[in-house]
Amino acid sequence: MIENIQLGLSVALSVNNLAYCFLGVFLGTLIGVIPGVGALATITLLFPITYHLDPTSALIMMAGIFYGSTYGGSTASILLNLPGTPTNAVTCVDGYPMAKQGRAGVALFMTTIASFIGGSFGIFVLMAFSPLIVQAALSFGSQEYFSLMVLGLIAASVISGSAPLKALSMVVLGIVLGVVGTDIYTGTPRFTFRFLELMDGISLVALSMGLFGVAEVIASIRRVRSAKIDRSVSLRSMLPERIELRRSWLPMLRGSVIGSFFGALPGTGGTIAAFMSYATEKRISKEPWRFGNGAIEGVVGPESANNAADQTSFIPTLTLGVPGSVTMALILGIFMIHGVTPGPRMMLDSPDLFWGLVMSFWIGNLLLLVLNIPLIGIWVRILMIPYHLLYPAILVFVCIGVYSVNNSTFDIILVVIFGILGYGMAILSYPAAPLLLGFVLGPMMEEHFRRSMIISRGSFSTFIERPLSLTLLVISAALLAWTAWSAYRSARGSAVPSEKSSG
Amino acid sequence: MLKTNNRETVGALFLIAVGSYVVINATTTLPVGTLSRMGPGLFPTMMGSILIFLGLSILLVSFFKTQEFIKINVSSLLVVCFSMIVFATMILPFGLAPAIVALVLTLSLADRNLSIYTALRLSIVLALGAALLFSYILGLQIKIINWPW
Repeated sequence: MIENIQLGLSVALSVNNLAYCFLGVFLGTLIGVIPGVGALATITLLFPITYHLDPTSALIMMAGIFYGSTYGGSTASILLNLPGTPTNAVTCVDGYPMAKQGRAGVALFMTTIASFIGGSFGIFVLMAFSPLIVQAALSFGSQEYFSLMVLGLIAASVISGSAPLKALSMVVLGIVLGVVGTDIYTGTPRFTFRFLELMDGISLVALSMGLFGVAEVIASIRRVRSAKIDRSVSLRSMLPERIELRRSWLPMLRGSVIGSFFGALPGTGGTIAAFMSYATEKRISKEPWRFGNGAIEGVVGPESANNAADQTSFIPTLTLGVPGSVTMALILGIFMIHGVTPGPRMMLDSPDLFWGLVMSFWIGNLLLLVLNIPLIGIWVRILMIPYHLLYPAILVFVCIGVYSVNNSTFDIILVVIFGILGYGMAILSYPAAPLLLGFVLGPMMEEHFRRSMIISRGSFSTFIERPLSLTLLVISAALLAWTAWSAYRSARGSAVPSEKSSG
Repeated sequence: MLKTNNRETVGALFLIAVGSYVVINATTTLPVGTLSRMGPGLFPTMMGSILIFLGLSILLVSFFKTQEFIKINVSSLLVVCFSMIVFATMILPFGLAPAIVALVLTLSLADRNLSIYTALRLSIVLALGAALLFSYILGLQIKIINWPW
């Protein structure tokens, strides 16, 4: 372990990578602060830039954007009652009341501390468990990978949304879109409509930019008004009182554990972790009536949870090559485009990339801790840029970014098409995230499926005969059954509102 | 109970249409093969079939739900798409900077909040920033200003 840490530090502390780490966390926090634009959109927008960087630097920066955005997202939640990113939604509930009581500075300060503690805990878990999982995964065969991906896709559809049928259909649609291109085994073109540009498949960048960037812009143009903040935040007001400190440290620890657990599971991420932490704190508290009125436990718990989840969601992605969430799917895509296949072999074949990345998480979290406290005033001012100046910039970025990947205007047209598709999906309330997951995982699933069929000579029972594969499939089936059951029960007329969360 | 003009049905029908297209295309143009010797058409056929199945399920559920009307913001949709198409057509003959200006100006035509003057200033800032970032810092091979004749 010590050699790994040393190796990682030597990679992460190089001037180049330090710079990219700093850039990543800075951009991430900045984007996180702006409500409506989240890590997913940012990573999508900056995806093309990574083409020009080497893989380690690109990933360090992207990861920095990812967990940095969760740090910044709490700012908008507390000051504006608008979540900066979906994972910060719960922070509004007690954060905004705290701001109204004049304790915004304390809230912002404590969430930064909470985020750091959560992130650090998550990194510990990542470092401790990854080698173990990699060892176990070396005995994985195609059947296990296939079943694991099935579980991941079903979990992602079923757990984090309120319309599991629609989410599942989007997963399948994503898989279908992933089929477009040249078949690896036989070299036959599939669904390319004789377009030369589609022979390598639909560009991931075009798909995600259109689906998330453009569709979001179209929907937001009339809707979004810029923020008017009537409270200014001074540095002196940031230090918490002793009783608040005493109330905070246990929720932070609990949140870290909860977050680490949910982050590592495929299909769940920071949003669920934050909700769970809030629910736990409220249930455990001896004074539950304070929640909703500025209870600091309801702010620091979820913030620790979502940052811990951010770190541990790298576990399935790096050790198994199965993304735990949509943003992870994008990061996985970045890996693959640079020619690195994440999975158990990656830790063994490219330890400098793996451990360099992990060590950069430490550096990134430290940078965020140091950055956020003095820069809170700047973030607040950013929130006041009017949206009608912002969205043309976003569109310009999208166009250039997509073009730069393949020097192709065809890709820009693809973005337009997917933008229309994404907008249509939003109107009909179909979730877009599962589509991206299906798109990234689809080709891998097909490959593992075909290999399993070749090995077993065409028999489905191979997935059930192997114990691990069977377990994974049973869990998937159980998840489906549980969703069908709860849908049936709620349709029967109970007036319980379902929790709307996007992971 | 049976409403013809509702949101859920539209979505479900779309899914069924796409699924059917996939299945038909895959089975007619690609060799499907058998499970033990899978051809390129087998997996798409499976996925298309699942899509049809899910589409039918959603269709079925839609008959029992109350519907909300679709609120489409057609003008925003068209403006954004058109502006991007303008960019795509202009970038090769005219270069990056004119393409950016054209995109932003197109947007300003339809958006009441964005006046022509603001759009012009914004587009110049963006063009300069983009030229700096993409050309000089990242080394993207694209002409900033070009003249096709």
